[in-house]
Amino acid sequence: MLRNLGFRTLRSSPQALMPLRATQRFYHDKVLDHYNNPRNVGKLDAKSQKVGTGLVGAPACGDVMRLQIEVDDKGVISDVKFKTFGCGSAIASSSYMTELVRGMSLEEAGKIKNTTIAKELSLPPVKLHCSMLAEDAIKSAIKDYRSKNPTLGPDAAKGAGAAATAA
Amino acid sequence: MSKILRRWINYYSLFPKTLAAGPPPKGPFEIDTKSLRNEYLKAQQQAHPDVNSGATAADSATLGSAYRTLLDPLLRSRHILELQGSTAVGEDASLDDEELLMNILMVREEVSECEDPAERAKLEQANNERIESTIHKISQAYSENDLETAQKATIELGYWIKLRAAFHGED
Repeated sequence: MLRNLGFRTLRSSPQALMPLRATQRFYHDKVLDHYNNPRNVGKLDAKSQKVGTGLVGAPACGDVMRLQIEVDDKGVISDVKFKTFGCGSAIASSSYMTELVRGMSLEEAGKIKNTTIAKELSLPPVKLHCSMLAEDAIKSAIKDYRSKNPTLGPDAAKGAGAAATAA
Repeated sequence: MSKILRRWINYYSLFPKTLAAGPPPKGPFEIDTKSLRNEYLKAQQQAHPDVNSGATAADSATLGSAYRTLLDPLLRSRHILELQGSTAVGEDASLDDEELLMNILMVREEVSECEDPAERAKLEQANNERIESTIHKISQAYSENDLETAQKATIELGYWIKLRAAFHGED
């Protein structure tokens, strides 16, 4: 009886053999808030000298994230925009990251660790890689900005000061 | 634990009739799914605790994972790459192929900004074609034992499959 049932179930519903669709997850309120009302979504002019663009992806889940920073002459991040295609945690991580880095120096922003984001959003262990992606994105944006402005050196604030003096 | 263990199970070896040649580069990437299904059902019958009291639930579960993995071109290719020791398709891997990422972002923005149903259907069709041609690229790469290309195309395929789900609001 049991055997028949098991066999029939297997044969009659191929769907039962397919991987489960995205399982229902219970997101933390903060994740939902950023997901439903993401901050700083959009685009900055990637060609501008003042803008650094970070573009990163997580192949395992098919997420892609673009994070852009605009840096003023004091070496401070004055504007920041992001666009993320991915799960709620990836969107929330990048949204929170944009709030966090606005007003920071490049040096401060470069020191942000994914654990800070994971903690703020109470991400579960399986979603830690989403916060990692946001960390990769800001690092990549800073790197892009610095490669456009090599004279600024590792400390953008000091570099900008020196450039102003030289001019 | 199961995750680490899984890497060491060669799923091809569970279906010796259908997949006698083993995974690429020795065997082909394409699989006779009908034959695989038959072999799977027979193996599952034998592994069933009601038939074989010595069998454990794990055997049945492993067979299930193996079948699902081999049936799906993306999962199959990831499995082959894992067997080859690649970590680029794993959960913690990150991607910095700028050209590919730019292309993915561009396509995804185009889809998210498109509201006209007819236009969306066209974009979805284009994506399905993209999926087919990427699978073909993977298969070709394996037949030439070009693992680097196979890996790159597998990563790309993951993104287009994800986009396919996004058309149906499963993103």
